[in-house]
Amino acid sequence: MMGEVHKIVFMGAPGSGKTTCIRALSEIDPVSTDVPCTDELRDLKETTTVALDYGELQLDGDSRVLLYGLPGQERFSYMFEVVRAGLLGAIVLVDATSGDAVEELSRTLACHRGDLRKMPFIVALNKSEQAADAIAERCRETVREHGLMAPVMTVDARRREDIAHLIELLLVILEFGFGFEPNGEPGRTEGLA
Amino acid sequence: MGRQDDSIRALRIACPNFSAEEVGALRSILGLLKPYLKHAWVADTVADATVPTDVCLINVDHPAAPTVPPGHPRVIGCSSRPRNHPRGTLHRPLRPPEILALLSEAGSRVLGERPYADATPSLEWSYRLVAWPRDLGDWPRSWWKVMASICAEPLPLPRIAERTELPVRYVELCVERLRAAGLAERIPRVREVAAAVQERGGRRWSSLAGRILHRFGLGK
Repeated sequence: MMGEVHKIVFMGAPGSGKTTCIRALSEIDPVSTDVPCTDELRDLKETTTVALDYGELQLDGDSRVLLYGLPGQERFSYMFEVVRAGLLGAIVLVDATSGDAVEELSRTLACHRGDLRKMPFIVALNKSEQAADAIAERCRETVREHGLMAPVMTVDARRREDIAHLIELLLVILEFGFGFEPNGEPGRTEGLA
Repeated sequence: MGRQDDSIRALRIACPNFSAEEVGALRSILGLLKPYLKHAWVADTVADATVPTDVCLINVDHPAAPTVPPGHPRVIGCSSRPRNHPRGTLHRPLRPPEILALLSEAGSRVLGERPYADATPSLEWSYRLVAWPRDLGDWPRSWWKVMASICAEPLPLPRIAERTELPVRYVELCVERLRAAGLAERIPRVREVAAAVQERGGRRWSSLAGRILHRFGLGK
């Protein structure tokens, strides 16, 4: 009997911590399509993800959780189509140190609002050593302004424990709020699309 | 015989101890609700034994004892502090959603379309999450389930308890704390006559969460 396969997606602006989250959880070497930055991101980070990150979490009984990181740039939003079927939910990452943290969150929400209405999602504030409360509050307001509702959590994307608890919360919302089945057909065995 | 008369007459709400302004407000609400009600309703202050009364609204904040019309109409209390009174007490000033729920059921009963479910009030409160707590990590994990249950749809306490498999009193504590923090609102709704909604069994996603936490040596 083939095990179940589930999908969780990490979304956010460049540098928000998507790749880090997947590295924290994945039990295979993450597939990453990072390339050197050639545009204005060069000042921010050396590389950025241009397609997607991919990792896997192997559970007992042949079950797997596929972890996808989608590029932050809006021009790659079509990549969401690749992972939509059977998606359990999304974690939207925000780099608290970015001067445009809230604007970046707003852009991500605007880009994926239709999908985020239909699935549980959490806003995860990463790298938030200073002024976390103020930024978290602005993130909450931004979520509300987009007509969405989601918890805003402060995390350290490098800490496996933090990310595991995010997934725990995501699944609680799926089970008790959305209830029932994830977006598309659940539990089908699929490989990397 | 009486049933034939009921089918053509306007149904009547007696408000024996309401002020003229309050009756006027109720009439305005009836005008607003007219497209949504199956039956025509009129409201007045007179407890007249010669006129059939279908619903009697009592201002329970009023110091004087009201005269309830004869004929055993449905008597509903109204108060500016309804939570200090038995369940089913309406808000004063009256709120259109509560009146709509009350009259929809009362009209059907008067015209014999369906009986009252029981002697208890027909309204109950549902609760809806309006925002997640900012300190969610400090709330009990079991209360996450309560919040998740009401994040997408309003539910009454028994349904939340059924869905989360938590004791009603425990759910109530959580909901009260959410309301005190302005994170949940309550909405009147008509009580479900029977437990028509069957909560699904199994805990597929909680089980998956448990397995993920276990994989990392977290959780129980």
